[in-house]
Amino acid sequence: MSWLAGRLEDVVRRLEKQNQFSWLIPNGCCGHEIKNARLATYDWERLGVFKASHPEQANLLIVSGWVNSAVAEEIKVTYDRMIKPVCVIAIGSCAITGSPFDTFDPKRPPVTVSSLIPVDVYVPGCPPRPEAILRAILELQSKLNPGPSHREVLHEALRD
Amino acid sequence: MSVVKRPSQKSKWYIPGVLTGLGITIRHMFFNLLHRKDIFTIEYPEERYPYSDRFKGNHILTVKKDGSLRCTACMLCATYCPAECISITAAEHDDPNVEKYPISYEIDILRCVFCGLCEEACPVDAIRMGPEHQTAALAGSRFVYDINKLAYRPNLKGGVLSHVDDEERKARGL
Ligand code: SF4
Ligand code: SF4
Ligand code: SF4
Repeated sequence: MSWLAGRLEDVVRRLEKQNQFSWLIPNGCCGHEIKNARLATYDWERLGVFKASHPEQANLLIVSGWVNSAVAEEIKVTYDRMIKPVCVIAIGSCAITGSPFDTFDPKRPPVTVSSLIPVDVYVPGCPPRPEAILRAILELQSKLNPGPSHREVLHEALRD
Repeated sequence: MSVVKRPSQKSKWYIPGVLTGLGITIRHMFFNLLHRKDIFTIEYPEERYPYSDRFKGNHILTVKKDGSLRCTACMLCATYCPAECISITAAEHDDPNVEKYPISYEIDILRCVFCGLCEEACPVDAIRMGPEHQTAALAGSRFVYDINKLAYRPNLKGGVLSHVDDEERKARGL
């Protein structure tokens, strides 16, 4: 029985790496680009990114926009509630370095996402194009599953 | 308690509604299967959206005819940049005709807001916004772009030639 449970665990872990269930914190103008990447024109479900209905069901956290104290609280609470391992994508200069609204006041440095939670992929831009967000997902998947992806294998097979 | 008035007796039953909805979904599915050309989803890694040539993407440092950097290290772009992400170290050139040149030119791409003000500020067309925009990368890779990356990255094929030419300017007395 424990052997079966172990195999089941393996299968679940492998599927977890191939599909991302995303939880979005789409603040600011970058949030519109995230929605653009999600909707029909770019449609990231093609790449295996689905929508989770609760942070506890998600294994991919996507953060964008300026991090004020309320959003910092939201990010920390959401990250704590997600079941590890979790991948984090930080989108836009606001979330990564806070530069668009930086006052250059050493007493009040901007809060960044990477100072709150560990970030896996950075998407520079203000705002980044939807392609850049899809590129971030491809980079993340190539990190989780080294070697050629199913998509590449399929395209190789179709080309011959 | 508020009472919602249904338009008809039939709409109390949800099964006809569900079947109507499923019918629409299935109709669209068959339509899309038969009209593959009309689907407007962009299959991203294989298919690209054609952006304009004036797109403000990653920066390009242009080069002179001999392949060295066009930049004169005047610091106008670094002063004008609203995000303060450009850092330049200037040095004196051996050639007396060239006043200064940058020994290091770094752009912190994570701070950059892609506003294009550096391109506007530059007096000698030494920095341009290029067409590349898919620059997402894993944490730990290099996000501070140096001269090698900005001017001589492989897809620029040895550098982009600047419009401003020193000999032409001298001939015109500029
Ligand atoms: S990075 Fe730029 S586009 Fe994104 S939320 Fe901040 S200001 Fe808006
Ligand atoms: S595009 Fe704007 S933010 Fe980026 S380097 Fe140029 S001036 Fe600075
Ligand atoms: S890129 Fe242009 S504006 Fe910036 S230092 Fe060089 S010459 Fe001056």
